[in-house]
Amino acid sequence: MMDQKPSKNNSKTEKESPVKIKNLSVTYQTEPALWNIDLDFPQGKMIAIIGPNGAGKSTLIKAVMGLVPITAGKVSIFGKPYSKNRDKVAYVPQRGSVDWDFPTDALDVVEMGLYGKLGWFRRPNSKTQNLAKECLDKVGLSDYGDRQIGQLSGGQQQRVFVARALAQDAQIYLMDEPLNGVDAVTEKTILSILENLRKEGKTIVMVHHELQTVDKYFDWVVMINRNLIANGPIKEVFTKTNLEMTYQEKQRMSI
Amino acid sequence: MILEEILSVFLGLFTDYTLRYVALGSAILGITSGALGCFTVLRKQSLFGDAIAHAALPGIGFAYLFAGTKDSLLLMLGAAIFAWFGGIITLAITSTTRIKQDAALGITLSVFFGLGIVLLSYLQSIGGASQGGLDRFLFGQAAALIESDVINLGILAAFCFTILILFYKEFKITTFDSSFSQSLGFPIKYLNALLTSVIVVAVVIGLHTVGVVLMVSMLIAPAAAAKQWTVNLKKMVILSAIFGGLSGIIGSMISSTAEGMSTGPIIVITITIILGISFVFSPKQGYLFKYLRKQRKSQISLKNFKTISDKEKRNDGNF
Amino acid sequence: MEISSDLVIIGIAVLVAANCASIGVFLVLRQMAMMSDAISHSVLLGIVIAVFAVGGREPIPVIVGGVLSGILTVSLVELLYRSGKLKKDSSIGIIFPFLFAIGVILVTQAGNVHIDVQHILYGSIEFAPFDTLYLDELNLGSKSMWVLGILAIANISFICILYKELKISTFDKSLALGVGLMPLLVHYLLMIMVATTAVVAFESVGAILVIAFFIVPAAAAFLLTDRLYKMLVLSVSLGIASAVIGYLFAIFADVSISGSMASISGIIFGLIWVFGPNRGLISRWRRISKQRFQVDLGIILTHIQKELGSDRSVSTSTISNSLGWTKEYSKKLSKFLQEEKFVEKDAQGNFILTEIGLKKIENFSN
Repeated sequence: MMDQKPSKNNSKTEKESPVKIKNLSVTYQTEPALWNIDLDFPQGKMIAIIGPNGAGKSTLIKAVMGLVPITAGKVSIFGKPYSKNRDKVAYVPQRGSVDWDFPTDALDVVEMGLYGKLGWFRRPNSKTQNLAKECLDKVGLSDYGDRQIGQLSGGQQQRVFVARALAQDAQIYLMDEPLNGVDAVTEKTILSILENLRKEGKTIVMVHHELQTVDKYFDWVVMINRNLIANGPIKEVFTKTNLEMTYQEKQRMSI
Repeated sequence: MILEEILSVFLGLFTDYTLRYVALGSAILGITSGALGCFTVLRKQSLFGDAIAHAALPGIGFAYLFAGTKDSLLLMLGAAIFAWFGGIITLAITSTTRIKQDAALGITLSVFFGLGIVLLSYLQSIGGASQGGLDRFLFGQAAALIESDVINLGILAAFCFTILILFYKEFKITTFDSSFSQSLGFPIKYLNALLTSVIVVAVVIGLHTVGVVLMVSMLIAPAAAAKQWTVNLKKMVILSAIFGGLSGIIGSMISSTAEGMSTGPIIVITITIILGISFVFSPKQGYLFKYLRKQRKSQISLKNFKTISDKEKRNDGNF
Repeated sequence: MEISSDLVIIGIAVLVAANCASIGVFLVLRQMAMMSDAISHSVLLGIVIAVFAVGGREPIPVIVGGVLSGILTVSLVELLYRSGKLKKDSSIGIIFPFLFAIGVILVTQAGNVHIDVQHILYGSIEFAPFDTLYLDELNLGSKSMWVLGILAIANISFICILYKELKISTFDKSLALGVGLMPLLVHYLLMIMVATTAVVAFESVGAILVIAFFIVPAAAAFLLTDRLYKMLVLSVSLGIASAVIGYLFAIFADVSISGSMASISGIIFGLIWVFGPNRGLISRWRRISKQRFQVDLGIILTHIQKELGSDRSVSTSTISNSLGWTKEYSKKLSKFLQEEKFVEKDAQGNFILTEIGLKKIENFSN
């Protein structure tokens, strides 16, 4: 469905980072949520974003997608602005952002992930439905397709969201605390799916809530506390000093 | 005797010239507001419809002031412009001050309506609009609908449904998960504006049949009733349209049996009764069936209890 | 002693405004504005039933009827909402049109009741001076004045006696709940006061405009102050102003009195919304622009420091490129930086930080 425009310097774009963030600042009135962030997400890694509450972790991934207004700085996806390379990114928002009372079932939600590719005025069809079914199978919810989403457990709801992201067939997955408050089966399922994606060269970026499991699940970590404290492979960067710096009292900025 | 009366009124739908148009106009309103109301209810913006309905009133007054005739289309245009304006003011108040949405709605509703009443009284005093002329939009007077009115309403409704069908998946996804839909590239602001516009058109249709004051019920009750019967959005929209249309037809039939009865109140009472029936009798969520299911469950557990205690008795005997 | 009927009408209007605007403060603060919308409509039903029952429009049965239907409304809305089948605003939007519709039907279909549809919506304050109260042969003046006056005393007493409880339960529900049964009681008492006020005001200004007086002055006052008692005073003052100006305009232009009063209250609100000190649109815009400028200043300085630290040169064009700002805006900021001596231009036209500039950056991180 997507025509790949042959770009002039093909080899150059292949070396471009999946996500390149430069000089990013996001402020609400006088409160800086993110300040002066320079950050490249490396390709094919499981990346954790950690930091204290209110440190700007969700804001970071929302800023990448332009869901919050950027005060300064630029973001590029494989060298192009987000609006031109949207289809390379799949977003898994926090579970609480949705009204689970909505009259829709699990299969329907997954199918909605394909609405972007359908474009204006085209309708969901058997093709999209089958694709959605496949994704639902991948997360182990084959029999739950016709359940109204409010009737699913928290873990199942999360897996539906992940299935929806899978349907988008993206290169980069931006996820906001997907493992928060889910059961063990869900956690295992999601992690194994993500691992498979990673092996295919996809990039996984996850705002993660639990420090104990960071070095177990991830191979790259970004530590944020309004500023970028550290960014790099777990082995090098996930150190006590960095953690202390990240989780210390938020530095007050008076502007 | 009553059955005969009902039958004669029902036949009147097809034979009586006026009743036909009354019922048709009311049905058109019910179908449109029923379908679109699903989205306002799901977006938790039910009372927004109340505010923009009241805001439409001065629009009618101004249209009459400038156009001088009771040209139906022009009045509807005026109503639409002011309803839209009311919506914008409400949003502006909530986004630029610390006043919350409920108060913003109340401000828009009452001030615009007050302005409308001022205009209406002015028109009365300069002797143009007769009493029953423009204030029929307060409670609706479907009885005053003529063929050209109904045709206009039909066109408006067709417009609404065209938009709804064309943008169905967009409305659905932006209502369900707005940040996700933004990430897919859907222009949320424009889509919200489009949805509001279609609702404004529904309100304009409603002015003729249920009037400004009661319009809000037609945007909520059919949708709420439909939600009791299904967990599928498409079915909910269709069912809601059916409920709305039914209440329009039934309401106009009933109001035709008495002299000078406004159609608005009857239609509203009808749809609320339909809602009540849905609350009680719907298979999955209704109170009646919930109660029956509970009874059945306790009977089953009683039976199990009996069987177990029987078994125990027999075992005792063996020892 | 003949009091001019104009004065009586203004007096009534003032009393209505004051009564509604004072109670309205709590409605706005507790986000119950639409509940007042609901109650104002549904009191009609209670009034109609009372009139049927008693055979005429006696004030006390009417008030009782109205209050009862007001309580009925609140209870039904709570019932619907707690059943989980509907959200709160949907519940409101279903109950009040239903009750109001029943009321309208009863009114229009029962011929011998002297309430007409117009009166329901916008009252008939013009006739109030002539609806007089007679004690034996003594003309005590307009009935409405007396009723409103008594209501005013009731409202003032209510607010004064329960001021502390109202304040706590409005601003800190969790604290209030910890202190005992009072919040629930306060809530219901408030609803009763709303219903009573609505019924009495209904007769003068009709359903929709009662809402205007409940909400608009209070909302305008909310934009002017943070203190509860100030808000009460302001709200009542603005309400009275709306009533008086509205009446005078209506007489001048020969239009609906109650509609005029509602419109004027809206205009007053509009003026405060736009021009209000601190929270008005204009002062807000100015403040936000200034804040934006300050923030961007911080960003640009931090950026310059960073670039220079990595041995990269900075100029106006690199700034607009890196930060995604327009060239004009970057130029404007750069000019300011130079004027304030935060930066200087070196030989090639690139920026270097000055002592003062460095200090400014340090100030940011404190």
